[in-house]
Amino acid sequence: MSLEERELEVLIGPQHPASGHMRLVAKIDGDIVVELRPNIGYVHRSVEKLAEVKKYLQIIPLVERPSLADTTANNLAYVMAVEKLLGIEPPPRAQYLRTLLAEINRIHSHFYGMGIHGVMIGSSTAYMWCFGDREPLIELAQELTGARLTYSYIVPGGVRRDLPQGFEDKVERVMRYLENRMPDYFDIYFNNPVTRARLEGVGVLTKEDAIKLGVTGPNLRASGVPYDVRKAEPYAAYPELDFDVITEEAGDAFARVMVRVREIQESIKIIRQVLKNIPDGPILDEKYMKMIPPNLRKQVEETGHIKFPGVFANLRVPAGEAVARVEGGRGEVVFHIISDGKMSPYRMRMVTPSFRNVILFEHLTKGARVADIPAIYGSLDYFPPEADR
Amino acid sequence: MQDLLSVIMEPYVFVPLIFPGITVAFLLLLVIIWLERKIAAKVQLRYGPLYVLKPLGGAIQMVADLLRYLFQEPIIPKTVDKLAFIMTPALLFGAAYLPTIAIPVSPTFYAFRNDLSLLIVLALSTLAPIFTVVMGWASNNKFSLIGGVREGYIVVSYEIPMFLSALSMAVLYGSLDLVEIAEAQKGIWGIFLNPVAAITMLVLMYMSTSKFPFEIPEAESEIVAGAYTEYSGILYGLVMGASYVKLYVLSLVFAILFLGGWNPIPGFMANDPLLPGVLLFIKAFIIIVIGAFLRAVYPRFRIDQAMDLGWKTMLPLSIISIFISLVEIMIMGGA
Amino acid sequence: MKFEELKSQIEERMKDLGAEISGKEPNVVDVKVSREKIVEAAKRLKEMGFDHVKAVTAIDYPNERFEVVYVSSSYSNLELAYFIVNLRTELPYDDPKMPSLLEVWPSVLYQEHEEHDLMGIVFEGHPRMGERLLLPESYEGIPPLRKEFKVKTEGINA
Repeated sequence: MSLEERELEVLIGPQHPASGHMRLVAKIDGDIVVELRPNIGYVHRSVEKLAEVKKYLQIIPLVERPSLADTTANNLAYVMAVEKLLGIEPPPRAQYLRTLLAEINRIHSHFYGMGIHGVMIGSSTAYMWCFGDREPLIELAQELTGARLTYSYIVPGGVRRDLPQGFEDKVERVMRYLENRMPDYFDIYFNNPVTRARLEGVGVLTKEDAIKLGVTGPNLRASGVPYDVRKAEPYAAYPELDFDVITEEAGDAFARVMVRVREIQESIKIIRQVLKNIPDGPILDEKYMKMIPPNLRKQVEETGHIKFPGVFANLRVPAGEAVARVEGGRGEVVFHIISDGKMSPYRMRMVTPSFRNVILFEHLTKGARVADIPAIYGSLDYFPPEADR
Repeated sequence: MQDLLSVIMEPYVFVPLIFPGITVAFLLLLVIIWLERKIAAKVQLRYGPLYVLKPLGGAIQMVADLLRYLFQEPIIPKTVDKLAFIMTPALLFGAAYLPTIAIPVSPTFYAFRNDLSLLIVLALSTLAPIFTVVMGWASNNKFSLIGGVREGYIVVSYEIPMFLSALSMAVLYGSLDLVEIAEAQKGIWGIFLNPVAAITMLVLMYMSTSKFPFEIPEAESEIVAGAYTEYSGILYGLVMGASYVKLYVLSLVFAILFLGGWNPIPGFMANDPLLPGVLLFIKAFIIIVIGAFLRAVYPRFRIDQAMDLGWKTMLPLSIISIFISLVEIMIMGGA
Repeated sequence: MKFEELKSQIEERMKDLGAEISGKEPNVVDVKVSREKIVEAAKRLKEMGFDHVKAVTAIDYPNERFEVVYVSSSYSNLELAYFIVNLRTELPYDDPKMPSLLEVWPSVLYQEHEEHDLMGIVFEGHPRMGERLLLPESYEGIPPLRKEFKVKTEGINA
């Protein structure tokens, strides 16, 4: 390096404590970032290509895997796209159960993001607390679905399992715990002067840029755009529920965190409504319910656990095209499925929120300081496997 | 045996080798790192180190860690400046430990007494950061380089105000001799006479030893481990220990300057080094524990914010503390 | 806004571009234009308020054609946010080139890059053509999302 050369190229990742499975190629001048290019693809697993050789039901676990902390959104969006092609509408109870799981998942996905963000700016306490408080929610989801993270709970026509016995009480206990816990977070982390100094005014995304760059999720809403798929194109049980779209005006890293915090409170509200209003009835579309052999159907009615009808294994989806979108914890998941009537999709396009937010790395870090790179990275709740798919 | 013991009890042997020298410093290292992890774990609702000697809550975890460091291969990358790379950890640790020789244990027990012992301690304590900067250069790694430069920036931001606030106490007591300074606090402790100086010094001590929220030169999520990125094995063990030893030394100085040193001590015990030494150590230990606790509370500042704090807040405060000392001297009618 | 209303509005705006408009109830409008006209069509959609692209899907019909679909919607106009407009164009199989819509919609930066990387479509005017995004730098051969690239499967269904 010659002495005249002012810029230093720093390769952050893929072997770096805070890079995740990606590489950030940063050109820095002193402590100022001149240019930063994310280099993604380290955990690309070709979901779109694999979907073309897998059957429709096999794709459910496939699309869940990339976004480990936010699986329900992918699961739901994919199934909604398939249902649009099949032309079926799941029964109301299934819709409510989907909403319930989606909101539980949203809360623990937000905790995951906030925890990682905390440790990226040096607060190990925020990290440990968030990951600890994620646990009760994961256990709730486990009781409902049988899995901790990759639920595969939502299937075409409904859901796999009915509410377990006494689930409402457990949920209420967890919700009350979370409500009591949130003030602690404000005391030690959100209102910590150092946290404020590190996050306020850092990585400011203006409303115009947020719209122009097509970013999504809390990152969009933190810039004052009140777009939420749950309101824009309501799905599942959301049309019948009362909740607000959370926005912040500042557009900085702190606003993005605050949107997540307030969305947790909003999700608690939604979960309570879901459990109060949940209608009785079947949890799988009648058409498929009929296809379950009678003796198994009796078992299904007793246990509330769906035994898949044989038709599911070789589910054929009519030719056509469908776009489905779902508001996950990290943002909007879009599935665009083109079917030719065979047992696998002809083409499946899966666009995850992280893939749409990756553009922000370039945009927000210009002129920031080196220490701001992790502060901005964490505030985006960016998850490399989800972006790479 | 008797002879050996009497040789050890000689102040000029005891001070550098036992207390406050290498033995206690080393034991403290083993305890404080465990304690720091335990405190953080308590706040974070988890156990922390537990399985090494479970009845005592994993108290000898650090012994196990030390053994691991000892037997781990210290990897020396091909591209480093070998001599500087290998030498600096030892020099860093040595430089951090060196000031202990000038610290008195009781009014009559010290390795040497000098009119300028406060200055000697402070001057020696400034040696260590140089080696961190050298390390950053010798490692031939961009993260190490950034870490070394950050250390350099931090040093210039904390050193002046820290020395000013320490010297404001010297002004107040009218002496640079640590023994005299401690003896002058038989009545009121320095922290009550000049709280501004105490707070400034305390904050800057944590800044100088890379404690949270000033853990900037080795910020993990930004620059991996700063200047220490390429170090492994016992070489890393040394550099990690050095900052704790430095904090230990500065805490002893803080205890003498602001917390009355070995006071209050009954007159008849004053000549026996045991009780004064224990008192001094306990005071210093409390300061270190507070530093360990901060890890669980604060995220880390950005370098420019820490420098702002050093130059724009701490420097004026330290100057104010000198004025406070001067005013108090005037009121009390001379030292 | 009603679906039919939006459809006729788009029809009116796109008339001179020779666009084929079709729709799927309740909220999806398909706009098909030739690749020469796609930039102009995108501009007009953006003027209407369709300000971002949610997905860029390239579809391979072997030895026949490629189809590129821009799934766009609105953030700034919440009334339009309910609707999705698929702006689509067809490319000949032996010449999969089209102008990039980056100028109109900056949000396609990574999406077009990905379709270039995995499907081998060339978006003219896109600054990162020829670079890899998800594939390793050293990758050579058929773009993996094309149908002629066969996935080796294992297990009982192989």
